[in-house]
Amino acid sequence: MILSRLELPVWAIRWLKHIPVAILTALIAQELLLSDGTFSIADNILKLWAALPTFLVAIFTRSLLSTVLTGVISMMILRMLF
Amino acid sequence: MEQERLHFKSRTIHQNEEGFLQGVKDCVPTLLGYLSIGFAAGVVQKTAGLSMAEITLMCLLLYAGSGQFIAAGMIAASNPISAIIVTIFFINLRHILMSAALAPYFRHLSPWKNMLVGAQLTDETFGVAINHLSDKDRASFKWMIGLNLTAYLNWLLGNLAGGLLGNWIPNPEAFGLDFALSGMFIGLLIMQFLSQKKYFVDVMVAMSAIAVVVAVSFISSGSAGIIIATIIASTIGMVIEKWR
Repeated sequence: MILSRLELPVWAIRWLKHIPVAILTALIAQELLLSDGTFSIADNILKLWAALPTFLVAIFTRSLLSTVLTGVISMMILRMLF
Repeated sequence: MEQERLHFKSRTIHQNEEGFLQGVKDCVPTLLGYLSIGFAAGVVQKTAGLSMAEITLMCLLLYAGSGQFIAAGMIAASNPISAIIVTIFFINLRHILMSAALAPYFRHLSPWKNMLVGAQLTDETFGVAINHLSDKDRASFKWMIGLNLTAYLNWLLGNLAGGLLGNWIPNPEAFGLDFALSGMFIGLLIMQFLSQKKYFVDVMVAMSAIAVVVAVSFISSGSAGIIIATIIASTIGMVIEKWR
């Protein structure tokens, strides 16, 4: 509300442009690398495997719906197997 | 002449202004995510002992995925209300950054309209909006309301379904439902990557964000990592862009 009133300098706009990638990566890193706030690959190994097809589908289909479905189904299959 | 051109420009913008229904349509890809995460949240809240009315109020007033999961967990562990509020406040501080990133597109709206847009912003509607607006110079209020309202109602719907059916599904994780959130973030990130086409800078920003999140997790167990990582990684991106 306040920020939209201000005329921002160029560097600030450049900085803001990087926020989406930064914030989304940070959220993904928190989901896939941390469990209960501490870093652990072993605790998250199934999630990391499920992330692989999810990333591939996202890159090749560019569809949010297919991406989410792939992630959920991969996770379900992985949990059934391990 | 100048005036004429300005007039023409404002008219074309007006014609291209997208309506409420387009916003609803643009929200559709995220609906499965909202429903499945909402469903999981509903189950968790129900198990934490919240009534259906309480779950409804949490959705309408708090309207935060991570916030509701945490609130449910903390209520179950009988934490004081002040601790719950402070925790959720810090986890959702990222909304300042998201609103700041969207603000340039909403300059033309009144403060009250912007407050409405900002208050309903979520990770997902932010992701959809920032991708959608990347080739435009201003956002349509009706489009944004369509997007936000669809997300809001679906979140409520998912929570209620989870709360009602929670008793029959003791373990939503077995169906991979807990991965819906990660899946949605991954999708939004890749869309962002592909639309910006600045792969080198984006990869550097992403790597820095991961490194900072992991580094912060060794120092503090709170959720400050997201904010710190976002600020540091965006700054690195800005510096790389300037220096190249």
